Amino acid sequence: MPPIVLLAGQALFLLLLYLFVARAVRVVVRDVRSSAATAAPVPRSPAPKARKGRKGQTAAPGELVVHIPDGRPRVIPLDAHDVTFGRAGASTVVLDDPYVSDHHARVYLTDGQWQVADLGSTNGTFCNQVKVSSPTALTPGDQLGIGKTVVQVRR
Amino acid sequence: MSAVAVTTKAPADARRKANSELALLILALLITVGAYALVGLATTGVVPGGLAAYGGAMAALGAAAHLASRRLASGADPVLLPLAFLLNGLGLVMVRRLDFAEQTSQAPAQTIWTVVAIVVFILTLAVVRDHRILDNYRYIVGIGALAFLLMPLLPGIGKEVNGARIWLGLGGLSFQPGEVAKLGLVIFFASYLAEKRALLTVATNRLGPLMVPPARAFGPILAVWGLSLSVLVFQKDLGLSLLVFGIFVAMLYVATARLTYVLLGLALFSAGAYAAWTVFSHVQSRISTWLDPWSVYDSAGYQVAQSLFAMGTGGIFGVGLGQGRPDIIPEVNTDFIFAAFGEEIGLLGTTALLLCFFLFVGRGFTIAMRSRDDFGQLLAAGLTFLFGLQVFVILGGVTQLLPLTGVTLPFMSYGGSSLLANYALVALLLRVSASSSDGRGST
Repeated sequence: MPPIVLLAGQALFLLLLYLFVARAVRVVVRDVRSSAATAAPVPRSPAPKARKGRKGQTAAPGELVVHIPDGRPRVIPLDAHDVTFGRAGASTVVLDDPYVSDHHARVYLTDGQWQVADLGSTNGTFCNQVKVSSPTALTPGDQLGIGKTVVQVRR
Repeated sequence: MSAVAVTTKAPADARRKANSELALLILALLITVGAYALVGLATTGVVPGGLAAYGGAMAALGAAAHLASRRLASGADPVLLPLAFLLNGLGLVMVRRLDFAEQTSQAPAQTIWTVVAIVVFILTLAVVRDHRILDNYRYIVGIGALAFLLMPLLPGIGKEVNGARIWLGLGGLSFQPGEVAKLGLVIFFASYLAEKRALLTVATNRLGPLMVPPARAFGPILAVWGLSLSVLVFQKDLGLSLLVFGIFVAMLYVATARLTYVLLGLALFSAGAYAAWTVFSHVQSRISTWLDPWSVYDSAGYQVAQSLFAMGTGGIFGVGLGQGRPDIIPEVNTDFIFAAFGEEIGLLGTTALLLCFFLFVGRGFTIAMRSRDDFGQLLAAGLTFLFGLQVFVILGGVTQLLPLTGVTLPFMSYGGSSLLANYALVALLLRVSASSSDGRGST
């Protein structure tokens, strides 16, 4: 076998190998981007507040007011992004509370409807004093209980 | 239809992922078949006769694995399986290539093991429909893993090969139960730590700048340290001993985020390593060989020295598949298979392989971070750490970065037990990944 053929074969092999790596990296990048788009941890820019809320006929929640015990209340606008609660640093609202699990609860938008879901927390998430066992739709005026923290749902 | 309306995004997303997996698998298949053809051309001058059969078999295996992951783990990570498949395929080509050089016939056995491993992959996905069921069988899995770990010590079925008592011999077949035991231990650790993480995290005492958990929280880490030392003492297996302890400390850190455990783990590891160094001559020889392989070039250092020569000969582009002399390195088809690649596909090729391992580990930790339950998180992190640590330890040994410990290079080394365990590992990671991607917050 002439060495030039083997050399060409070797070059083609290495090229294909890197093509594979590049394609795999592309799939990974796309995956990371798409999940970042649906579950951005922190809303960076104050997006137009509750765009969906104004359009809908029924009053839709526009913001959450987080009352952390002995802390200033914090207002979180509900704008397409998920809001997660937990002790883990990656949560939107980090709660330093031994009764809160690392990934405790999540408030998210599906089909134009804001819902709250418990993420398998140890002590549970409560919506109007009722334990959330399946994703529950939120309406303004609802009160969520996460550990010692109370979260008000407002327009 | 109403159900579809609610989760329209999920199936489309899952289909897109499955299609990228298929595309990557086809590319991986092309690469391995091409590599095999190249090996044949270089060693015998003709395209090997078994090329069509080999390509067909790999295509069938890839298709079966792909269908299983598409059907049984919809929405799971699309990169892990193709990475495993590529590494496995190239490993198989290299084993075949070494058969040419050494006049052995190990490739057929390894092909059969590949078939078995893919079957195990599919079965794992089919049986474990939700990774949380493993949580319920934690003690059975844990005791099973322990039994597997210690099984080679039983007289009769246990065998001692090259000084390490880690083999089971049944008839003509041999098996390393430790490979499977590692997976069982990860499952057990994940389940145990998911339950106890709160207890182990609470820090009550202050020690200098560190907040330290109460003394009895250190019980588990001491117990696992004892276990890993007993593996070292009775089975004389440095690699397995290191992996068992390493996984536990890493998982403990993932579960509690307490640096104290890592420091304690390092201290215990150093104490164990020092004790082993003073007591065992084989550990001493490993260390001195690592520090200076050239002074014992013709005896203990021969293997590492040849490995370094091989990689040096390979240079940047490699001497070409099938054109090197990898058969000079002892144990080249198991522990030192990476050196054979270093010689024949060079720095460029081995960098691509390293990128594949790197991507695998990266995806594994991503799966862990996205998992919605503590057990899934710890399981994925533990499995990934097991994989990554094993790659690091053996590649470190082959390149003389670390003392040599006999562990296999996942998916590439010759050896059925390891291949089988690693495919099961991929199946479990896909299972955790699928469970966190199906319609967020549903059920």
